[in-house]
Amino acid sequence: MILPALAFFFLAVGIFFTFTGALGVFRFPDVYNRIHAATKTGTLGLLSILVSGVLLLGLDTVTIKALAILVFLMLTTPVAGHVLARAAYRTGVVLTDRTLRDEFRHVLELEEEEPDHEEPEGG
Amino acid sequence: MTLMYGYAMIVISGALPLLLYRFLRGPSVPDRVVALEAVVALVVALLVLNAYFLDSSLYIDAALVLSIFGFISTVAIAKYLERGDLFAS
Repeated sequence: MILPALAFFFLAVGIFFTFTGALGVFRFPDVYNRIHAATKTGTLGLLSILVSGVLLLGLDTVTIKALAILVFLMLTTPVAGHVLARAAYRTGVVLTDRTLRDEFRHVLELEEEEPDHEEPEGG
Repeated sequence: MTLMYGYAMIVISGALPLLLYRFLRGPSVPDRVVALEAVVALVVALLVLNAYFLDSSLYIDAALVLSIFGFISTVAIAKYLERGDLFAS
């Protein structure tokens, strides 16, 4: 009795985060805000949906693969968001007018002053 | 009880036109990439929900492969935007 209730709860949370993430990509004023919303869709929404199925169906061939997808998404979705935000900033996509503080600009200016200390880039 | 996954698929499908608008409207290239990344996340969610709904192992393999391709394509496009060349060291 408790496991179906928990499965329903996690499914509701997953639908909420998935739908509001898509709404954020639609509504937010800025690339960086939209990356934030899309990353929430990929991590929290999908995590809750996958966990819901694991709770309801138990461990079988479907939910083992669901757990594999879960581990993979938790590792890769934040990395994809970070890489995309960095590429957007370095190609000069402007921030919204309502931005209060931009700390990465300071880091880039330091790099331009001292090109010897440019961070080693992998990948 | 698995019928709730069917209703969940209907709700999540309703979010796809919002992302299509952002993909068509832009205004910059990273905006479109973000929209496509979110579309991939939603389609993975739809495939997983369909696998739960039918209790079928076929759809969840497709979800696994699609999530891998989504990550690789996002990183490749981001590197292309930043460097202008995919295979530069």
